[in-house]
Amino acid sequence: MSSRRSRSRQSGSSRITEEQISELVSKLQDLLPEARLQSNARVPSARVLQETCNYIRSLHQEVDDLSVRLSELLETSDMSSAQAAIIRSLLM
Amino acid sequence: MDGNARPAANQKKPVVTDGDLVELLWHNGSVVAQPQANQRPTPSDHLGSSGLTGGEETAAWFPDTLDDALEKDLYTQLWYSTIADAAPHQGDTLPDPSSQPPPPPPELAHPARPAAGSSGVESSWAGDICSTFCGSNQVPMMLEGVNRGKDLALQSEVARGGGAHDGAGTSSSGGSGSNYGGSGMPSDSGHIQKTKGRCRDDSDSRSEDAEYEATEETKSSSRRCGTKRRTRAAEVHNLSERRRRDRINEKMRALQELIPHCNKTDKASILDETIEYLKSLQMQVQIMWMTSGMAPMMFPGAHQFMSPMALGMNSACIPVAQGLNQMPRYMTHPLPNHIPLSPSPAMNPMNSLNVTNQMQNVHLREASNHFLHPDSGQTVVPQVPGALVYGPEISPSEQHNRTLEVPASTVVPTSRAGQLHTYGV
Repeated sequence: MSSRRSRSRQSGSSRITEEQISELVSKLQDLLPEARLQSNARVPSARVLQETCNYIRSLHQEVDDLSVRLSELLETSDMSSAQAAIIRSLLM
Repeated sequence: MDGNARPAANQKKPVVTDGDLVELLWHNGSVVAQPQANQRPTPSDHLGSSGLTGGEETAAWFPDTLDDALEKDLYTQLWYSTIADAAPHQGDTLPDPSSQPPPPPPELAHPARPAAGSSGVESSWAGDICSTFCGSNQVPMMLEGVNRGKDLALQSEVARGGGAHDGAGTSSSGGSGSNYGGSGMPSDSGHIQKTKGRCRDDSDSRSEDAEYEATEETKSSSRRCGTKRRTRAAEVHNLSERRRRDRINEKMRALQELIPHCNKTDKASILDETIEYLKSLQMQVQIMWMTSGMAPMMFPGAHQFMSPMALGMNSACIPVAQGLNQMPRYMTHPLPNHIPLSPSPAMNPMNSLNVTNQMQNVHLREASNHFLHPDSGQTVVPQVPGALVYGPEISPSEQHNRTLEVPASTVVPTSRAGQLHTYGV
């Protein structure tokens, strides 16, 4: 990120350039699971953003499911207090 | 096509020397140049009344002069769709035709100019807008011409937008927007990208055409036609550009809502926050998978399996907890302080695990992520046995098995972001 800021300074203005944005979008695209879009293909930004939204929502859902699961584990399994504390911390 | 075009050009020339506005009509496959006086009564009424609303007058011309049902279907489809887009904007752009970019006006006079194939087709498309045309022979040419006109608009947009992929995406959307009835469209859309060179040629020939038209076109209606065409082309890609921008802005807003504590409104910041949030979310999910996978190991019955690694396993949770401590600010759960933090002894037993080795081998890109070390300078990597390593290589593929493989474990947690695994617990 610091590199990005310095790059904008080098360009002579703090204005956000289209190139910056497309670079960010490509970074985002890299983070997305490859199943969601053709890997390394030049996908339009709107598509990347849409897939990101979907992905974030699915991750939220997954976190919720895992939280349920972990809380169940916490209830049922007999574990040390340290381990339970760890799991409880995850469930916050 | 060209066969029809040439006689049309020959026919056109003598009429052109009149210096009057010439309306070129296709009648049953040949161009007939008629002085526009014949046609003027009908459209001029619309012209006068509507005050140069180009879309309406063009639309009005259609029912009057088209006598080919095929043409009518094809072009009314096309024009009503483009007119619907262009009509509201005619008023702003019409007043100064000279300042408009070159494309539309010269094309009025050359519906059948054989000179350059592309330019001829271009002008034929444009010419047909103002002049009325009927003639099935011209249909394939028209399609090409219209497509190229659209390509022009899109090309300039591409040049402006600076992204080929965006251009492609927009051109396809623009294509669907113009609602082609003909079958030629799908194939033509394929070479939208390739028309860049051709468009430059078009602009050269268009400049020639501009002079030619200037000499012969003196009537305001023709100028309106040209302006209409110019503005329509401009409007088409303005609209598609605007649509694209709106789509992207809408997605950015949606993203902004998804990301907690995001109070930024500029694109780059939102994208920054999204990237970081996504990384942290992926990490959290991975940890939860691992933890929920390991938790069954903590059953009393599993102690026999755990004994050589019991220390390691339990210690593994501790570095994980430490990783949690380093969790980005998005994570609302504070790590309990009473969790014993013993990184160094934890590391040694962990090394015996394939998990650790593989995790340590995984490239950690987030080392520079400020989420991972909010203490600014503290590196997470040595403390966490790679549980928090979630580089780009990790994707919902078999790669996950690498990082989470626990030897001699009945449970193999595979953290696949996006999928929910049910362990055999």
